[in-house]
Amino acid sequence: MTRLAPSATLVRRALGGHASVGLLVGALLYLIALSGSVIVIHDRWQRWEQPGIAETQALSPVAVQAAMTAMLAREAAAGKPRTTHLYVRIPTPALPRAVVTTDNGAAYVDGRGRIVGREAHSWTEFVIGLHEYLHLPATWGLMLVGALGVAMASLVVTGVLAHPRIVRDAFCLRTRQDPQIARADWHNRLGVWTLPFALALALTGAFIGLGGVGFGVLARAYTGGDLEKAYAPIFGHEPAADPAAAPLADAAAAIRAVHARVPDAVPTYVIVHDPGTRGSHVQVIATHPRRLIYGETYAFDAAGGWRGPVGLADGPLGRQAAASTYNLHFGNYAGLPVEIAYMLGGLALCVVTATGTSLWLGKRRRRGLGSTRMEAAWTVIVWGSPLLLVLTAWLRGAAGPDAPLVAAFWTALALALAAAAARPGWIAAARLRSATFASLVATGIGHLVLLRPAAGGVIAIDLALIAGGATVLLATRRGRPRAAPVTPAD
Amino acid sequence: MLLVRLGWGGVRGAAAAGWLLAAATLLALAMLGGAWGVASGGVAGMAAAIAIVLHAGWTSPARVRRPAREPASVTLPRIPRDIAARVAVFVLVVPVAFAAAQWCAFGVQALARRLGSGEADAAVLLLFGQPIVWAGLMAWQMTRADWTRMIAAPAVAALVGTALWGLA
Repeated sequence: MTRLAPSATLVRRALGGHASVGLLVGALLYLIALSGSVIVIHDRWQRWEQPGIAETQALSPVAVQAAMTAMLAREAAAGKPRTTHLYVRIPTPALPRAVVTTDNGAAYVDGRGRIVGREAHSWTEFVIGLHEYLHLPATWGLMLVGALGVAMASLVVTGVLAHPRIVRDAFCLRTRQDPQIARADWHNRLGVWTLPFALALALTGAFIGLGGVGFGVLARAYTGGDLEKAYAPIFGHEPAADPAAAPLADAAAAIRAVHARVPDAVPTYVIVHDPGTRGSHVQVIATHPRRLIYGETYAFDAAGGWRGPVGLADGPLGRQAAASTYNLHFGNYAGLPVEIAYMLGGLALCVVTATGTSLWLGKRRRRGLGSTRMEAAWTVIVWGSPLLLVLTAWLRGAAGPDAPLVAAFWTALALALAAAAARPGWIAAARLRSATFASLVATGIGHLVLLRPAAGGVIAIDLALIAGGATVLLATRRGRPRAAPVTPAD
Repeated sequence: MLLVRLGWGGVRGAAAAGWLLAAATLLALAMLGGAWGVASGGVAGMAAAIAIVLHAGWTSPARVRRPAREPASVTLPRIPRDIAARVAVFVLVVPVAFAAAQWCAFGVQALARRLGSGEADAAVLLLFGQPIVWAGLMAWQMTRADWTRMIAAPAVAALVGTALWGLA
């Protein structure tokens, strides 16, 4: 038997390891990459989902206070339990709407702080839930998604080791050759050029997902199991609670203080802890221009008296790094251009994930080990899941914000996978792919016609859906010769 | 990225100049805009490279060429012994490597605290360290020939964690 050079065996072992990890986590990684690509612009989707809500470009401190007072009065009148936290989201260019949120629900408010409608972006939240915890119970789901981030990072490393011609092939993309060659090129080229992006997303995702475990370990080791104390060195201490009744905290004074003391900072959230109690206190989260941190947290007492910043912007390096992981992961640190780049990068990761498993299935088929059931099941994941995401948006539109989107998505996906296993001949990739892109076109047109949005940003999304779907439909019609029969996963 | 592409196409020295320019740009962005500048510049570079690759795909000639009949790099287990080996791999790579990475990262943060690092910096060493060490272990383990050779890496990580904790 011929002995292989050590480097050749390493390449083979790396390829084997790369394939093993990819096969184990490929489907879940694909769902996470797909949903992640969508929710990069989640604020804009929220606006798209409810286009009829009155919008406002700004919310004055007085209006913030009025919104909080109105929400508490409304919930008290409805007999709802007293909330432990009260949040006001300040309008931004991506979402020019103010939202006031309690433990019991959320409502949009107008520029004067009057409640104008229920916040009911359940489809957007459904896609966020798919990305962040795969709709599992939050703690376990976050851990699983964090672990998948680690698996993705290891896929990046083993992928590089398994690719000795990484430089020679750097710009070679043979899209119109044999499908197996085209798939390999798509996989390798997009994999290489998205490498830093993929690594950054994987590790920040792992940090966010597995952070709970890390804080749990720190709590057991240093704070007697008290998680809040373990979080405090990074996210700040919270004062002791005092449940005695008191007037609502003065959030307006807190916002005015931020404007006066830190003129460059832009408040995005106002949080009142334990509203209506003597232990109540206020936090204002404000973004800092040209910073990767999600913002600085400024703390105040119930009267709006300044307590100071937590130090996310200028505190210890670790605190700044921790605060930077979120924006680096979600791509919301430099406006729409970077958001679009993140969406396209996320879609590239979808292609890398999809073609990886398709390559493996293709190799098996060419060696006479093909499995039509596995190929049909993979086709359902690759083309069925985006189609189902679009169909759930239609379900949301037809049945309202309380439609069971999670149950509908997973039930339909399970049924489609069962159909692929039982009747693989029913699953045709070309038809599913066409249906997916046609559904994007139909959704854009349907949204424009049925909901008649007025905001330019919302109309732009509809036009992007129509143009994107139509372009891909036309592009896939470009003829290409085939040396091998078309397979379900092409 | 255009220079890098020209260099790849045969213009001698252009690729090196392109990479140098990219590195210098990232350095300048780091000095001017810190992490924000590096992240923004990195995304722009990646987008430019992918645009060039997509153009190559759009203009690639249509040919009929059969790919090599390579065996799949991983086969599905069929006999109980193979299945047991896959289970062993999973156990070593997921829960065992996870715990070893956690312990190693905990040791690093414990030593950092002992050496006078602030609580926030030490905590972040643990939070960032765990996934990085775990990903490294996973990559190392998955390039071993069989599951018995996957034991050493998490064992070493756990020993390192213990040693650092002992020093702390």
